[in-house]
Amino acid sequence: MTKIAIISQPEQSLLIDISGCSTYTEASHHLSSTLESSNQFCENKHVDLNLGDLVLDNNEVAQILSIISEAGIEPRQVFVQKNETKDILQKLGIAIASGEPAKLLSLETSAAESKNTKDVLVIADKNSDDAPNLLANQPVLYLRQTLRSGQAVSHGGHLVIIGDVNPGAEIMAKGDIIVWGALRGMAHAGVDGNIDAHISALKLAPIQLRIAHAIARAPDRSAGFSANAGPETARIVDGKIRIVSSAPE
Amino acid sequence: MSGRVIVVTSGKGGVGKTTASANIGVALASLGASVGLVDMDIGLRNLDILMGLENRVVYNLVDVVEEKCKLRQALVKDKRLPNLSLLPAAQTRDKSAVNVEQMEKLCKELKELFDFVIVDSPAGIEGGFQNAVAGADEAIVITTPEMSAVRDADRVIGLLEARKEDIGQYRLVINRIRPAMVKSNDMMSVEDVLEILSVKLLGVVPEDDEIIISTNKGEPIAGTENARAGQAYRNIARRIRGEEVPFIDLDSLNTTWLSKIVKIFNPVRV
Repeated sequence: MTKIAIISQPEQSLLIDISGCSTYTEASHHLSSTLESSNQFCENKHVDLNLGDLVLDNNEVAQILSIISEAGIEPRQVFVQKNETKDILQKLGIAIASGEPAKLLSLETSAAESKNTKDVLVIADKNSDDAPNLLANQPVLYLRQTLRSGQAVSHGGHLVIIGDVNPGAEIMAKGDIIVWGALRGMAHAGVDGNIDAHISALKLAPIQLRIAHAIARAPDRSAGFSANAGPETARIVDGKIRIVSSAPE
Repeated sequence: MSGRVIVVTSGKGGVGKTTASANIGVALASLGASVGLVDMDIGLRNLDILMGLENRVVYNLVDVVEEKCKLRQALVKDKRLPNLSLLPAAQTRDKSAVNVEQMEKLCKELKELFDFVIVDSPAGIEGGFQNAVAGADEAIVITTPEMSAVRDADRVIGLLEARKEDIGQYRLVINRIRPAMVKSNDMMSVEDVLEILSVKLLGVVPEDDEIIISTNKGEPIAGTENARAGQAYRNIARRIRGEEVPFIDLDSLNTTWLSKIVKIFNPVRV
Protein backbone atom coordinates (compact mmCIF):
# COMPACT_ATOMS: atom_id res chain seq x y z
CA MET A 1 0.00 0.00 0.00
CA THR A 2 1.29 3.42 -0.93
CA LYS A 3 1.88 5.53 2.14
CA ILE A 4 2.44 8.87 0.49
CA ALA A 5 1.65 9.82 -3.06
CA ILE A 6 2.02 13.01 -5.00
CA ILE A 7 -0.71 13.02 -7.61
CA SER A 8 -0.99 15.45 -10.46
CA GLN A 9 -4.35 17.26 -10.70
CA PRO A 10 -5.88 19.37 -13.44
CA GLU A 11 -4.49 22.87 -14.09
CA GLN A 12 -0.90 22.11 -13.11
CA SER A 13 -1.76 21.49 -9.49
CA LEU A 14 -0.64 18.65 -7.26
CA LEU A 15 -2.22 16.68 -4.47
CA ILE A 16 -0.11 15.38 -1.62
CA ASP A 17 -2.01 12.33 -0.48
CA ILE A 18 -1.10 11.05 2.98
CA SER A 19 -4.35 9.16 3.51
CA GLY A 20 -2.44 5.89 3.15
CA CYS A 21 -0.82 6.44 6.55
CA SER A 22 -2.71 5.17 9.56
CA THR A 23 -1.02 7.12 12.34
CA TYR A 24 0.45 10.58 12.82
CA THR A 25 3.99 9.26 13.39
CA GLU A 26 3.89 7.34 10.15
CA ALA A 27 2.49 10.31 8.26
CA SER A 28 5.05 12.80 9.51
CA HIS A 29 7.95 10.42 8.94
CA HIS A 30 7.00 9.56 5.36
CA LEU A 31 5.97 13.10 4.54
CA SER A 32 9.30 14.66 5.43
CA SER A 33 11.32 12.07 3.52
CA THR A 34 9.05 12.31 0.49
CA LEU A 35 9.16 16.08 0.32
CA GLU A 36 12.90 16.08 0.79
CA SER A 37 13.40 13.91 -2.27
CA SER A 38 10.79 15.50 -4.47
CA ASN A 39 10.42 19.16 -3.62
CA GLN A 40 11.40 20.23 -7.13
CA PHE A 41 8.21 18.59 -8.41
CA CYS A 42 6.13 20.87 -6.24
CA GLU A 43 7.77 24.14 -7.28
CA ASN A 44 5.49 26.81 -8.73
CA LYS A 45 2.40 24.66 -8.45
CA HIS A 46 -0.77 24.83 -6.45
CA VAL A 47 -0.63 22.07 -3.90
CA ASP A 48 -3.55 20.45 -2.09
CA LEU A 49 -3.36 18.07 0.81
CA ASN A 50 -5.43 14.95 1.45
CA LEU A 51 -5.48 13.81 5.07
CA GLY A 52 -8.11 11.13 4.44
CA ASP A 53 -9.51 9.73 7.67
CA LEU A 54 -6.48 10.54 9.82
CA VAL A 55 -7.41 11.76 13.29
CA LEU A 56 -4.98 14.42 14.43
CA ASP A 57 -4.83 16.75 17.46
CA ASN A 58 -3.92 20.43 17.44
CA ASN A 59 -0.24 19.81 17.81
CA GLU A 60 -0.07 17.15 15.13
CA VAL A 61 -1.91 19.28 12.56
CA ALA A 62 0.53 22.09 13.24
CA GLN A 63 3.46 19.69 12.82
CA ILE A 64 2.21 18.36 9.48
CA LEU A 65 1.64 21.88 8.19
CA SER A 66 5.09 22.96 9.28
CA ILE A 67 6.72 20.00 7.50
CA ILE A 68 4.97 21.09 4.33
CA SER A 69 5.79 24.75 4.71
CA GLU A 70 9.44 23.87 5.42
CA ALA A 71 9.52 22.33 1.95
CA GLY A 72 8.40 25.71 0.62
CA ILE A 73 4.85 24.64 -0.09
CA GLU A 74 1.76 26.60 0.89
CA PRO A 75 -1.24 24.24 0.73
CA ARG A 76 -4.20 25.72 -1.11
CA GLN A 77 -6.85 23.51 0.45
CA VAL A 78 -7.11 20.36 2.52
CA PHE A 79 -9.27 17.30 1.96
CA VAL A 80 -10.29 15.79 5.26
CA GLN A 81 -12.90 13.25 6.33
CA LYS A 82 -12.89 13.26 10.14
CA ASN A 83 -14.83 16.12 11.73
CA GLU A 84 -12.41 16.43 14.69
CA THR A 85 -9.53 17.14 12.34
CA LYS A 86 -11.71 19.41 10.21
CA ASP A 87 -12.53 21.57 13.25
CA ILE A 88 -8.89 22.04 14.11
CA LEU A 89 -8.06 23.03 10.54
CA GLN A 90 -10.89 25.53 10.45
CA LYS A 91 -9.70 27.12 13.70
CA LEU A 92 -6.28 27.56 12.07
CA GLY A 93 -7.94 29.25 9.11
CA ILE A 94 -7.05 26.54 6.58
CA ALA A 95 -9.37 26.13 3.58
CA ILE A 96 -11.27 22.84 3.62
CA ALA A 97 -11.77 21.35 0.18
CA SER A 98 -15.14 20.18 -0.96
CA GLY A 99 -15.71 17.20 -3.18
CA GLU A 100 -13.62 14.12 -3.77
CA PRO A 101 -9.81 14.23 -3.87
CA ALA A 102 -8.00 12.86 -6.91
CA LYS A 103 -7.31 9.18 -6.45
CA LEU A 104 -4.08 7.35 -6.98
CA LEU A 105 -4.62 4.51 -9.39
CA SER A 106 -3.21 1.28 -8.16
CA LEU A 107 -0.21 0.17 -10.21
CA GLU A 108 -2.00 -2.85 -11.60
CA THR A 109 -4.83 -0.64 -12.85
CA SER A 110 -2.51 1.95 -14.23
CA ALA A 111 -0.64 -0.69 -16.21
CA ALA A 112 -3.90 -1.94 -17.64
CA GLU A 113 -5.22 1.49 -18.50
CA SER A 114 -2.01 2.75 -19.94
CA LYS A 115 -3.45 6.04 -21.17
CA ASN A 116 -4.12 7.04 -17.60
CA THR A 117 -0.64 6.40 -16.33
CA LYS A 118 0.42 9.96 -17.10
CA ASP A 119 -2.00 11.22 -14.51
CA VAL A 120 -0.29 9.32 -11.79
CA LEU A 121 3.01 10.34 -10.39
CA VAL A 122 4.14 8.09 -7.59
CA ILE A 123 7.17 9.54 -5.95
CA ALA A 124 7.64 7.60 -2.80
CA ASP A 125 6.48 4.26 -1.65
CA LYS A 126 8.74 3.52 1.24
CA ASN A 127 8.30 0.27 3.15
CA SER A 128 6.08 -1.13 0.49
CA ASP A 129 5.34 -4.79 0.94
CA ASP A 130 4.40 -5.27 -2.70
CA ALA A 131 7.57 -6.91 -3.97
CA PRO A 132 6.65 -6.83 -7.69
CA ASN A 133 6.13 -3.09 -7.50
CA LEU A 134 9.48 -2.47 -5.85
CA LEU A 135 11.11 -1.62 -9.15
CA ALA A 136 8.20 0.22 -10.74
CA ASN A 137 7.93 2.79 -7.99
CA GLN A 138 11.50 3.99 -7.91
CA PRO A 139 12.78 7.36 -9.05
CA VAL A 140 15.32 7.54 -11.85
CA LEU A 141 18.63 9.36 -11.96
CA TYR A 142 19.64 10.29 -15.49
CA LEU A 143 23.29 11.19 -16.00
CA ARG A 144 24.81 12.30 -19.26
CA GLN A 145 28.51 11.94 -18.62
CA THR A 146 31.34 9.43 -18.65
CA LEU A 147 32.35 8.16 -15.23
CA ARG A 148 36.09 7.87 -14.83
CA SER A 149 38.25 5.91 -12.43
CA GLY A 150 37.60 6.93 -8.84
CA GLN A 151 34.17 8.40 -9.52
CA ALA A 152 31.21 6.81 -7.83
CA VAL A 153 27.48 7.28 -8.27
CA SER A 154 24.98 5.83 -5.87
CA HIS A 155 21.24 6.33 -6.25
CA GLY A 156 18.17 5.19 -4.35
CA GLY A 157 16.30 4.28 -7.53
CA HIS A 158 17.09 3.39 -11.12
CA LEU A 159 20.25 4.73 -12.70
CA VAL A 160 20.63 5.68 -16.35
CA ILE A 161 24.04 6.73 -17.61
CA ILE A 162 24.52 8.10 -21.09
CA GLY A 163 28.26 7.62 -21.45
CA ASP A 164 30.89 5.12 -20.43
CA VAL A 165 31.71 3.73 -17.00
CA ASN A 166 35.46 3.26 -16.96
CA PRO A 167 37.46 0.73 -14.90
CA GLY A 168 37.82 2.00 -11.35
CA ALA A 169 34.45 3.78 -11.39
CA GLU A 170 31.62 2.43 -9.26
CA ILE A 171 27.90 2.75 -9.86
CA MET A 172 25.30 1.59 -7.39
CA ALA A 173 21.52 1.72 -7.54
CA LYS A 174 18.60 0.31 -5.57
CA GLY A 175 16.90 -0.47 -8.86
CA ASP A 176 18.13 -1.17 -12.39
CA ILE A 177 21.23 0.20 -14.07
CA ILE A 178 21.32 1.10 -17.73
CA VAL A 179 24.52 2.29 -19.37
CA TRP A 180 24.21 3.71 -22.86
CA GLY A 181 27.89 3.15 -23.53
CA ALA A 182 30.57 0.77 -22.32
CA LEU A 183 30.36 -0.53 -18.79
CA ARG A 184 33.94 -1.40 -17.83
CA GLY A 185 33.92 -0.58 -14.12
CA MET A 186 31.96 -2.02 -11.21
CA ALA A 187 28.17 -1.92 -11.21
CA HIS A 188 25.90 -2.94 -8.35
CA ALA A 189 22.14 -3.03 -8.98
CA GLY A 190 19.53 -3.83 -6.34
CA VAL A 191 21.86 -2.79 -3.51
CA ASP A 192 19.05 -3.28 -0.98
CA GLY A 193 18.75 -6.93 -1.91
CA ASN A 194 16.35 -6.66 -4.84
CA ILE A 195 17.11 -9.74 -6.93
CA ASP A 196 14.87 -8.55 -9.77
CA ALA A 197 17.22 -5.70 -10.64
CA HIS A 198 18.93 -5.72 -14.06
CA ILE A 199 22.13 -4.24 -15.41
CA SER A 200 22.18 -3.41 -19.11
CA ALA A 201 24.88 -1.84 -21.23
CA LEU A 202 25.65 -1.34 -24.90
CA LYS A 203 29.00 -2.94 -24.19
CA LEU A 204 29.00 -5.02 -21.05
CA ALA A 205 32.63 -5.55 -20.11
CA PRO A 206 32.72 -4.90 -16.37
CA ILE A 207 35.45 -5.81 -13.91
CA GLN A 208 32.76 -6.96 -11.54
CA LEU A 209 28.96 -7.08 -11.50
CA ARG A 210 26.83 -7.25 -8.41
CA ILE A 211 23.08 -7.71 -8.22
CA ALA A 212 21.61 -7.77 -4.72
CA HIS A 213 23.96 -10.13 -2.85
CA ALA A 214 25.34 -11.95 -5.90
CA ILE A 215 28.78 -11.10 -7.25
CA ALA A 216 30.15 -12.04 -10.66
CA ARG A 217 33.67 -11.23 -11.77
CA ALA A 218 35.19 -10.94 -15.21
CA PRO A 219 37.14 -13.99 -16.39
CA ASP A 220 40.84 -13.78 -15.53
CA ARG A 221 41.81 -14.18 -19.16
CA SER A 222 39.71 -11.81 -21.19
CA ALA A 223 41.40 -12.91 -24.42
CA GLY A 224 38.27 -14.70 -25.60
CA PHE A 225 36.13 -11.63 -25.03
CA SER A 226 34.41 -10.49 -28.18
CA ALA A 227 34.24 -6.74 -28.36
CA ASN A 228 31.24 -6.77 -30.67
CA ALA A 229 28.91 -8.70 -28.43
CA GLY A 230 26.34 -5.92 -28.69
CA PRO A 231 24.01 -4.76 -25.95
CA GLU A 232 23.70 -7.21 -23.09
CA THR A 233 21.72 -7.50 -19.89
CA ALA A 234 22.76 -9.13 -16.62
CA ARG A 235 20.13 -10.54 -14.30
CA ILE A 236 19.87 -13.12 -11.57
CA VAL A 237 18.85 -16.61 -12.70
CA ASP A 238 18.77 -19.37 -10.06
CA GLY A 239 20.69 -17.22 -7.60
CA LYS A 240 23.54 -16.51 -10.02
CA ILE A 241 24.23 -13.61 -12.33
CA ARG A 242 23.65 -14.48 -15.98
CA ILE A 243 24.32 -12.31 -19.01
CA VAL A 244 22.08 -12.43 -22.06
CA SER A 245 22.03 -10.47 -25.28
CA SER A 246 19.56 -7.59 -25.27
CA ALA A 247 19.25 -7.63 -29.04
CA PRO A 248 15.97 -9.01 -30.43
CA GLU A 249 16.23 -12.55 -31.74
CA MET B 1 52.92 -14.75 15.45
CA SER B 2 54.30 -11.31 14.92
CA GLY B 3 55.47 -10.49 11.44
CA ARG B 4 57.47 -7.62 9.99
CA VAL B 5 55.77 -4.62 8.42
CA ILE B 6 57.88 -3.32 5.55
CA VAL B 7 56.89 -0.14 3.74
CA VAL B 8 57.97 0.34 0.12
CA THR B 9 58.44 4.02 -0.64
CA SER B 10 60.35 6.39 -2.90
CA GLY B 11 59.17 9.99 -2.77
CA LYS B 12 59.19 10.26 -6.55
CA GLY B 13 56.44 8.68 -8.59
CA GLY B 14 56.98 6.21 -11.39
CA VAL B 15 60.19 4.63 -10.12
CA GLY B 16 58.56 1.25 -9.55
CA LYS B 17 57.19 1.15 -5.99
CA THR B 18 54.11 -0.84 -6.90
CA THR B 19 56.01 -3.19 -9.19
CA ALA B 20 58.60 -3.74 -6.47
CA SER B 21 55.90 -4.32 -3.82
CA ALA B 22 54.14 -6.91 -5.95
CA ASN B 23 57.35 -8.70 -6.87
CA ILE B 24 58.84 -8.70 -3.39
CA GLY B 25 55.53 -10.04 -2.11
CA VAL B 26 55.43 -12.81 -4.71
CA ALA B 27 59.11 -13.68 -4.17
CA LEU B 28 58.72 -13.87 -0.38
CA ALA B 29 55.60 -16.00 -0.72
CA SER B 30 57.40 -18.31 -3.19
CA LEU B 31 60.01 -18.88 -0.48
CA GLY B 32 57.24 -20.18 1.75
CA ALA B 33 56.56 -17.15 3.95
CA SER B 34 53.00 -15.90 4.45
CA VAL B 35 52.73 -12.43 2.96
CA GLY B 36 50.14 -9.66 3.11
CA LEU B 37 50.38 -6.97 0.47
CA VAL B 38 48.76 -3.65 1.42
CA ASP B 39 47.93 -1.02 -1.20
CA MET B 40 48.05 2.34 0.56
CA ASP B 41 47.66 4.38 -2.61
CA ILE B 42 44.04 5.23 -1.85
CA GLY B 43 42.32 6.79 -4.84
CA LEU B 44 44.97 5.60 -7.30
CA ARG B 45 44.96 1.90 -6.66
CA ASN B 46 47.17 -0.19 -8.94
CA LEU B 47 48.52 -3.09 -6.95
CA ASP B 48 45.44 -5.22 -7.63
CA ILE B 49 45.93 -4.76 -11.39
CA LEU B 50 49.59 -5.80 -11.24
CA MET B 51 48.60 -8.86 -9.25
CA GLY B 52 45.79 -9.68 -11.68
CA LEU B 53 43.29 -9.59 -8.82
CA GLU B 54 41.27 -6.53 -9.82
CA ASN B 55 38.11 -8.50 -10.56
CA ARG B 56 38.15 -10.19 -7.15
CA VAL B 57 38.14 -7.04 -5.02
CA VAL B 58 34.97 -6.75 -2.94
CA TYR B 59 35.97 -4.81 0.16
CA ASN B 60 38.98 -2.57 0.62
CA LEU B 61 41.27 -1.03 3.21
CA VAL B 62 38.93 1.89 3.89
CA ASP B 63 36.02 -0.50 4.50
CA VAL B 64 38.17 -2.30 7.09
CA VAL B 65 39.19 0.94 8.78
CA GLU B 66 35.59 2.15 8.83
CA GLU B 67 34.54 -1.27 10.19
CA LYS B 68 32.19 -1.97 7.30
CA CYS B 69 33.75 -5.42 7.05
CA LYS B 70 36.21 -7.66 8.86
CA LEU B 71 39.89 -7.65 7.87
CA ARG B 72 39.72 -11.24 6.65
CA GLN B 73 36.78 -10.41 4.36
CA ALA B 74 38.75 -7.69 2.61
CA LEU B 75 41.88 -9.78 2.00
CA VAL B 76 42.01 -11.10 -1.57
CA LYS B 77 43.89 -14.38 -1.91
CA ASP B 78 46.39 -14.61 -4.77
CA LYS B 79 45.52 -16.84 -7.73
CA ARG B 80 48.78 -18.78 -7.69
CA LEU B 81 50.20 -18.53 -4.18
CA PRO B 82 47.80 -19.49 -1.37
CA ASN B 83 50.04 -17.90 1.27
CA LEU B 84 49.87 -14.47 -0.43
CA SER B 85 46.99 -12.05 0.13
CA LEU B 86 46.23 -8.51 -0.99
CA LEU B 87 44.48 -5.79 0.96
CA PRO B 88 43.36 -3.45 -1.84
CA ALA B 89 43.04 0.32 -1.59
CA ALA B 90 39.74 2.11 -2.14
CA GLN B 91 39.50 3.69 -5.55
CA THR B 92 36.60 6.05 -4.96
CA ARG B 93 38.07 7.69 -1.84
CA ASP B 94 41.16 9.77 -1.17
CA LYS B 95 44.16 9.80 1.14
CA SER B 96 42.26 11.55 3.93
CA ALA B 97 39.95 8.54 4.34
CA VAL B 98 42.34 7.01 6.89
CA ASN B 99 44.58 8.45 9.58
CA VAL B 100 47.84 7.49 11.25
CA GLU B 101 46.21 5.88 14.32
CA GLN B 102 43.95 3.70 12.15
CA MET B 103 46.93 2.55 10.07
CA GLU B 104 48.96 1.67 13.17
CA LYS B 105 46.05 -0.44 14.43
CA LEU B 106 45.61 -2.09 11.03
CA CYS B 107 49.30 -2.96 10.76
CA LYS B 108 49.20 -4.53 14.22
CA GLU B 109 46.30 -6.74 13.14
CA LEU B 110 48.04 -7.68 9.88
CA LYS B 111 51.24 -8.60 11.74
CA GLU B 112 49.30 -11.26 13.60
CA LEU B 113 48.21 -12.85 10.32
CA PHE B 114 51.38 -12.73 8.19
CA ASP B 115 55.15 -13.22 8.42
CA PHE B 116 55.63 -10.22 6.14
CA VAL B 117 53.34 -7.25 5.56
CA ILE B 118 54.45 -5.27 2.50
CA VAL B 119 52.92 -1.78 2.38
CA ASP B 120 52.93 -0.06 -1.00
CA SER B 121 53.18 3.66 -0.29
CA PRO B 122 51.86 6.39 -2.58
CA ALA B 123 54.25 8.88 -4.18
CA GLY B 124 54.93 12.08 -2.29
CA ILE B 125 55.73 12.85 1.32
CA GLU B 126 52.34 14.12 2.46
CA GLY B 127 49.46 12.46 4.28
CA GLY B 128 49.43 9.30 2.18
CA PHE B 129 53.12 8.69 2.85
CA GLN B 130 52.71 9.44 6.55
CA ASN B 131 49.89 6.89 6.75
CA ALA B 132 51.91 4.29 4.86
CA VAL B 133 54.93 4.52 7.18
CA ALA B 134 52.79 4.82 10.33
CA GLY B 135 52.77 1.14 11.27
CA ALA B 136 56.03 0.13 9.58
CA ASP B 137 58.95 -1.63 11.27
CA GLU B 138 61.25 -1.37 8.26
CA ALA B 139 61.39 0.49 4.97
CA ILE B 140 62.55 -0.23 1.46
CA VAL B 141 63.41 2.91 -0.50
CA ILE B 142 63.16 2.54 -4.27
CA THR B 143 65.09 4.79 -6.62
CA THR B 144 66.20 4.81 -10.22
CA PRO B 145 69.69 5.93 -11.28
CA GLU B 146 68.51 9.46 -12.09
CA MET B 147 69.33 12.64 -10.21
CA SER B 148 65.69 13.54 -9.61
CA ALA B 149 64.77 10.14 -8.19
CA VAL B 150 67.90 10.05 -6.05
CA ARG B 151 67.14 13.52 -4.73
CA ASP B 152 63.62 12.45 -3.72
CA ALA B 153 64.92 9.21 -2.21
CA ASP B 154 67.34 11.29 -0.14
CA ARG B 155 64.44 13.38 1.13
CA VAL B 156 62.46 10.27 2.06
CA ILE B 157 65.45 8.69 3.83
CA GLY B 158 65.70 11.90 5.87
CA LEU B 159 62.05 11.54 6.87
CA LEU B 160 62.56 7.87 7.75
CA GLU B 161 65.63 8.70 9.87
CA ALA B 162 63.45 11.04 11.89
CA ARG B 163 61.32 8.02 12.84
CA LYS B 164 64.28 5.97 14.07
CA GLU B 165 62.42 4.68 17.13
CA ASP B 166 59.72 3.06 14.94
CA ILE B 167 61.52 2.15 11.76
CA GLY B 168 64.41 -0.14 12.65
CA GLN B 169 66.09 -0.28 9.27
CA TYR B 170 65.74 1.15 5.80
CA ARG B 171 67.46 -0.27 2.75
CA LEU B 172 67.75 0.82 -0.85
CA VAL B 173 66.67 -0.86 -4.08
CA ILE B 174 68.04 0.66 -7.28
CA ASN B 175 65.58 -0.04 -10.04
CA ARG B 176 65.76 0.04 -13.84
CA ILE B 177 69.52 0.14 -14.12
CA ARG B 178 70.95 -0.32 -17.63
CA PRO B 179 74.45 -1.76 -17.42
CA ALA B 180 75.37 -0.77 -20.96
CA MET B 181 74.54 2.88 -20.27
CA VAL B 182 76.40 2.77 -16.97
CA LYS B 183 79.43 1.43 -18.77
CA SER B 184 79.37 4.23 -21.31
CA ASN B 185 79.00 6.78 -18.51
CA ASP B 186 75.50 7.79 -19.60
CA MET B 187 73.84 6.58 -16.42
CA MET B 188 74.65 6.79 -12.73
CA SER B 189 76.18 3.58 -11.44
CA VAL B 190 75.17 1.75 -8.28
CA GLU B 191 78.26 3.20 -6.62
CA ASP B 192 77.33 6.75 -7.65
CA VAL B 193 73.89 6.38 -6.09
CA LEU B 194 75.24 4.83 -2.91
CA GLU B 195 77.81 7.58 -2.58
CA ILE B 196 75.07 10.19 -2.45
CA LEU B 197 72.61 8.29 -0.29
CA SER B 198 75.08 6.34 1.91
CA VAL B 199 72.51 3.76 2.84
CA LYS B 200 72.53 -0.03 2.93
CA LEU B 201 71.84 -1.63 -0.45
CA LEU B 202 69.14 -4.29 -0.59
CA GLY B 203 69.14 -4.98 -4.30
CA VAL B 204 69.68 -3.84 -7.86
CA VAL B 205 67.01 -4.51 -10.48
CA PRO B 206 68.01 -4.26 -14.14
CA GLU B 207 65.76 -2.68 -16.73
CA ASP B 208 63.66 -5.44 -18.27
CA ASP B 209 61.02 -5.31 -20.99
CA GLU B 210 59.42 -8.34 -19.37
CA ILE B 211 58.20 -6.05 -16.56
CA ILE B 212 55.84 -4.26 -18.95
CA ILE B 213 54.51 -7.56 -20.24
CA SER B 214 54.02 -8.94 -16.74
CA THR B 215 52.28 -5.76 -15.56
CA ASN B 216 49.77 -5.98 -18.37
CA LYS B 217 49.23 -9.68 -17.77
CA GLY B 218 48.76 -9.25 -14.05
CA GLU B 219 51.47 -11.77 -13.26
CA PRO B 220 54.44 -10.36 -11.29
CA ILE B 221 57.75 -11.22 -12.91
CA ALA B 222 59.23 -12.68 -9.73
CA GLY B 223 57.08 -15.73 -10.41
CA THR B 224 58.70 -16.21 -13.83
CA GLU B 225 61.93 -18.17 -14.14
CA ASN B 226 64.73 -16.83 -16.34
CA ALA B 227 63.60 -13.20 -16.30
CA ARG B 228 66.55 -11.21 -15.01
CA ALA B 229 64.41 -8.67 -13.12
CA GLY B 230 62.54 -11.60 -11.58
CA GLN B 231 65.84 -13.10 -10.39
CA ALA B 232 66.78 -9.74 -8.87
CA TYR B 233 63.51 -9.63 -6.90
CA ARG B 234 63.96 -13.20 -5.72
CA ASN B 235 67.42 -12.23 -4.45
CA ILE B 236 65.92 -9.21 -2.67
CA ALA B 237 63.37 -11.46 -0.98
CA ARG B 238 66.10 -13.79 0.24
CA ARG B 239 68.08 -10.83 1.60
CA ILE B 240 64.95 -9.62 3.42
CA ARG B 241 64.75 -13.05 5.03
CA GLY B 242 68.32 -12.60 6.25
CA GLU B 243 70.25 -14.68 3.74
CA GLU B 244 73.58 -13.52 2.35
CA VAL B 245 73.07 -13.35 -1.41
CA PRO B 246 75.78 -11.94 -3.68
CA PHE B 247 74.70 -9.07 -5.91
CA ILE B 248 73.97 -9.63 -9.58
CA ASP B 249 77.05 -9.19 -11.74
CA LEU B 250 75.87 -6.36 -13.91
CA ASP B 251 78.46 -7.00 -16.59
CA SER B 252 76.78 -10.27 -17.38
CA LEU B 253 73.67 -8.33 -18.29
CA ASN B 254 75.20 -6.57 -21.26
CA THR B 255 72.97 -7.31 -24.19
CA THR B 256 75.58 -7.56 -26.88
CA TRP B 257 75.07 -10.28 -29.46
CA LEU B 258 77.87 -12.26 -27.89
CA SER B 259 76.35 -12.19 -24.42
CA LYS B 260 72.98 -13.11 -25.88
CA ILE B 261 74.51 -16.25 -27.35
CA VAL B 262 76.23 -16.97 -24.05
CA LYS B 263 72.85 -16.59 -22.34
CA ILE B 264 71.22 -19.16 -24.56
CA PHE B 265 73.68 -21.77 -23.30
CA ASN B 266 73.83 -20.44 -19.79
CA PRO B 267 70.53 -18.78 -19.06
CA VAL B 268 70.65 -18.52 -15.29
CA ARG B 269 73.83 -16.49 -15.05
CA VAL B 270 71.90 -13.56 -13.54
